[in-house]
Amino acid sequence: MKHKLKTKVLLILAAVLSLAAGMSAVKKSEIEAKVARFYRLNADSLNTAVLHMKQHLADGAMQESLQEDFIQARIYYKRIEAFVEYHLPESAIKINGANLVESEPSLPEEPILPTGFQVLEEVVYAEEPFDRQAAKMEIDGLAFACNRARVLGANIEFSEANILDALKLNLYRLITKGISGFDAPVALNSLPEAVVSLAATQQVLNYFPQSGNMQAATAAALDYVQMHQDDFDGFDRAKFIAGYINPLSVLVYDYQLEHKIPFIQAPNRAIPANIPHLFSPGAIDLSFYAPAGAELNNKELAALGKILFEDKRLSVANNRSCATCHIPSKAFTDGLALNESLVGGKKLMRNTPSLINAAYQPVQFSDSRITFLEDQIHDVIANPEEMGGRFEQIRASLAKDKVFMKAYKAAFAGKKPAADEVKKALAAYVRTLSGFNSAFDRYMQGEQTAMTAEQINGFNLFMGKAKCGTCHFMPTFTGAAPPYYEKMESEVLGVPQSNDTLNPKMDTDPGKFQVYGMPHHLYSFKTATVRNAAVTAPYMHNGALKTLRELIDFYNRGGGQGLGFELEHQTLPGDLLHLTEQEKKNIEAFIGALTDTVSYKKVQL
Amino acid sequence: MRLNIKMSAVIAFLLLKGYSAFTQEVKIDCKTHVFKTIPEALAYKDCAQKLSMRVAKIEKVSDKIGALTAITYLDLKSNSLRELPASIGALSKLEQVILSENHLKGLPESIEGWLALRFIQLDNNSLSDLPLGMFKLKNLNTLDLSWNNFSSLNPGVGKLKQLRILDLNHNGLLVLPKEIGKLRGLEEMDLSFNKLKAIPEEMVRMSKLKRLALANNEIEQLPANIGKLKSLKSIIVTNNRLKTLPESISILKELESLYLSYNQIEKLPGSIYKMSHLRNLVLVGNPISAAEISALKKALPNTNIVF
Ligand code: HEC
Ligand code: HEC
Repeated sequence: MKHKLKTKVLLILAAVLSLAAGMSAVKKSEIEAKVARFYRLNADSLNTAVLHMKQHLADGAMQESLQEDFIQARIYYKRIEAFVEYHLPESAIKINGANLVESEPSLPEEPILPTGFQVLEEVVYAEEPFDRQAAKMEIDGLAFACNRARVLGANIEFSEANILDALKLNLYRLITKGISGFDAPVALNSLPEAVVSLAATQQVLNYFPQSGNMQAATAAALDYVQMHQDDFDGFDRAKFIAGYINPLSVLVYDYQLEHKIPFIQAPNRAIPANIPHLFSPGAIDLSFYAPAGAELNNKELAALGKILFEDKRLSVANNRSCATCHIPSKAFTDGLALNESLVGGKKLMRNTPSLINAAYQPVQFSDSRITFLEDQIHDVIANPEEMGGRFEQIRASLAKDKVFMKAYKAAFAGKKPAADEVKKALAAYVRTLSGFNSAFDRYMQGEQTAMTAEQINGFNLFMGKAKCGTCHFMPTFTGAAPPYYEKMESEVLGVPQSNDTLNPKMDTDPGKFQVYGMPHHLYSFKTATVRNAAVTAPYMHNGALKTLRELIDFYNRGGGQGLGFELEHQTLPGDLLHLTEQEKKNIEAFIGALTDTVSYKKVQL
Repeated sequence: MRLNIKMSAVIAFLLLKGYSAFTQEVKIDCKTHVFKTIPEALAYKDCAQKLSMRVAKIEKVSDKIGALTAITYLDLKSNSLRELPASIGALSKLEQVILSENHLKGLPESIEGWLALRFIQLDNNSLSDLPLGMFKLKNLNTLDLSWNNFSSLNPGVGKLKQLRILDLNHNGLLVLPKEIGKLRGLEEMDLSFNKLKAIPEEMVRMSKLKRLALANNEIEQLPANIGKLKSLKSIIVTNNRLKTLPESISILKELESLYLSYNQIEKLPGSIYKMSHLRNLVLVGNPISAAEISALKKALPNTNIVF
């Protein structure tokens, strides 16, 4: 009897508990239902807008009227961009992917043509006679993709955590790509689109209880863009990011902490969900770029790597170490256009890049041929032109060295250094070479005086009029594409053989083409970092450009096309940038604000 | 007290059980039915065994897949997946997994939970690395990693002792870890279309290896002890940089086909004249003299020699 009573009590208790859980679930799912509805309504509008455009075209509408339709359709897309990109990445590419040819390694000869808004934009805004057939094809494709996002969207499983995560990633997308004109290079409607994007953010945040702070910060950012939305060139992007978006991002972070909304665990992401903002110290998770099992915090391993880095026994004739070409006092470059090859008195094929922040790249080498530092090191040591070393011989000579073996024993348990261990140690050392505390970084972290007025102006040019930021993405300033930073873009610039602009000749290095043999990769090179460029002259994969001014002039005249090269596949727009003398100076000054060649020294090895 | 908790647990269990029995239609046989969506399978979550979302245009796999713990067969071929949810590691009964033709950049560490896994196809993705958890899958016998972005292979691969088929063709492999030699049960290995300059000596311990494909690499020589690979039936070394072959090759009594086209071989080892069991010997694109070819033809009358 007594037992039964207790059972009853327990059952009631369980029922009450589950009811309570159910109640909080109701409140939670209310937010999710609202966001799902928000998505549905806007996806419907997007579809309607695209169908309208299709109808208009069929009715014989003029280009100007289609341009209006285009802008309207994009606005609906911008309202749900955060969620399409987050949950339907493939659809996002089909709707608003970069206007670049891709192909799968398995079908190198079959180009995958880009589709979506960015391709349509070129057609609708073209100056030549308007190509109706092309427009029809692109609009049909767009309609198909938008419909797919609508249908698949019905199955998205929204949660508080993934909603906030998607919004935050979209803020990163906005500041790194959106406001640079990355995805609307011709219409230049980026700032009005930023307003739409922020309005949508505010509306979604409004579904969250006690979200007043976040909403107010969003509204302030929105007001700021709105005030300047007609002045693409003059927009103060530095202030917008540091003064509005970063603080908003921090508020979202704080809200999640306060309301105990978990941060999404995303091991496949370079920028984790649980950071305050994109420029927070340590925002980039280095382990994302390292192979499984790499030991990132192993000091002994990195210390051993440092010894090896300076050890000439790694080369065939014992006359070259890594540091011979990657000279620490020169930001790990050699200051030469091309270094000497070990074979036949030739020069090496490529310029020696800096190693500071090299570990923060999804691929290595200017043709992107390798993923991990460990493998890159194999390539260099075994390369007959660079070091020509043979691992068996290296192992033997290292094993005889008592001093070396002491450092080795601190890192490894083996008796003799193995090839694998040499690579691991060197890679571990290169991973300690980071420099993310430049004047620019400190400015973005809130230190308003860290950059001079000239540098701030240079940054705004870099991200706006001069279009640099559309390829050199913040915060690494490489081609690693935000907000996931997993894919490294390569571009065809048309780099000349030398800095001779009177008789320019095109460089013949095939670049990434050599790796997969895909035609559109011919002459394309990894978008190298701009960080530390002030101290790493000469520039480009062949070291052809001697000064930053020569480099800016190269871009200013439209790259290789501007030099008169016939380059069908040049991905750098061939237009003149019309930079003034002062503007060029400011960009140079800004590049100076990206110098940090000291932070790595603070790591005690 | 303890008893009571147990009792209420039993009651709750029976209730739930009754509930799920109620929602199930009797017609579906979980053993054979191939479920096409996760919600459909979730209605039978304790018994659904086969799930195929082949060419289903999906871009993300729902977290909820983790509840389908009875699944043994999972086919996600030809979708647009970039990642898998960590919850997928809970499918501990999985035996066959097909993930071909997606855009996978990585796999979750949690797949270490796929302890029953025997067969996995990961071809045509964007993988450059495997999670360490993969090397705990002691029952794995087939691993297809072809058409990915590997430039090296984690030494942990040596722990996959049950492996019989390993396909790595069309990657960017520069070297193989010596640990690969620990795969003593391997029968087929395809390393074609990589950037290998050599294969590790340790590989000669793969005494069950029947087929070794090394076409389109930069291999300069084969291991001196290749004769130890006593089960080898065919060797494909087309398009490499071989100048000669190891003498020990003639010990390979099972060898039927030797494809050597497009190398830099001027002279074959003397021992090759004894390989009368050889059915096919392909020598196209090598600087071998006509005199040597006719000598070979004489010595190996039953071999189909293509030059
Ligand atoms: C003879 C000069 C030379 C030596 C010695 C040398 N390197 Fe390099 N390194 C280069 C050149 C040139 C490149 C660019 C090659 C390319 O892009 O194809 C490079 C590229 C790299 C990269 C890729 C960086 C990037 O951003 O893509 C890394 C990392 C690197 N080297 C590390 C090392 C290490 C570690 C060693 C010693 C084991 C070493 N290097 C020895 C000249 C050298
Ligand atoms: C279309 C994409 C694109 C645009 C736009 C672009 N870059 Fe580049 N940038 C690249 C690529 C690709 C490389 C590497 C080229 C090579 O190695 O040949 C590069 C290299 C550089 C380097 C040299 C790095 C080194 O160490 O050699 C600097 C500095 C640089 N860019 C600055 C700029 C500036 C400043 C602008 C704007 C005026 C700009 N870039 C615009 C793609 C771009």
